[in-house]
Amino acid sequence: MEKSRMVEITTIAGAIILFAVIAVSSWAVLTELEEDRPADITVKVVGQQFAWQFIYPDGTVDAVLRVKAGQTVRLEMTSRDVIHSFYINDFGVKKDVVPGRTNVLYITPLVPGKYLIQCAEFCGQGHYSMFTWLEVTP
Amino acid sequence: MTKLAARDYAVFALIVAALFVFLLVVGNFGNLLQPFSVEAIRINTLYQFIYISGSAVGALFGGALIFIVYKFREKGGK
Repeated sequence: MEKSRMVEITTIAGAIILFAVIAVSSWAVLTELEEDRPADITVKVVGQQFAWQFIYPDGTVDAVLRVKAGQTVRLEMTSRDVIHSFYINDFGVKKDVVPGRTNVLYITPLVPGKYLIQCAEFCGQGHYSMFTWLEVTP
Repeated sequence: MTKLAARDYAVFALIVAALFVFLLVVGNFGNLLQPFSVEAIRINTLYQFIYISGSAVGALFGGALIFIVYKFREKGGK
């Protein structure tokens, strides 16, 4: 076979293999992050213009999300008005919060600290002020 | 057609390797952010893998481009 033809085939085959490996590993991680799993605590999250509300299993309502490090938290999120997006930059997670449906997000914080929770979907004039904190205690 | 000598292949390999190392150092070896949760660790590991393999491909193509531009440059007078 001609040398240039071999280089061409190797390049195409290499690209296909690389893309396949990336696709499979991305799919595996996305599936793992999305699938239902046992949680230590379930917190209901309600988004509304322009604040977040967290409802704990005992009925307590708070404006700040407070969890313990190492706890797997199941967040059941819905909206009272328009579409919002629940975004924790430090955890690399973001999920749309849509009126009329409940979207689920799992987080397992490891490091105690205070992390910013922002709305990542333009939801009105006060969108910029729609943020709160996730407090992770040891 | 210009035939490539062993030295040319060595230069090409050197350019690709240098570019690959440069991309890795610039991108902190794919460690973009410090992960604070189990999910972030999984995402970061995936990002790291994609960054390193992307850097390898980028280095290969970028290196080939640099090498070709240099090797087959207009030398003038002909």
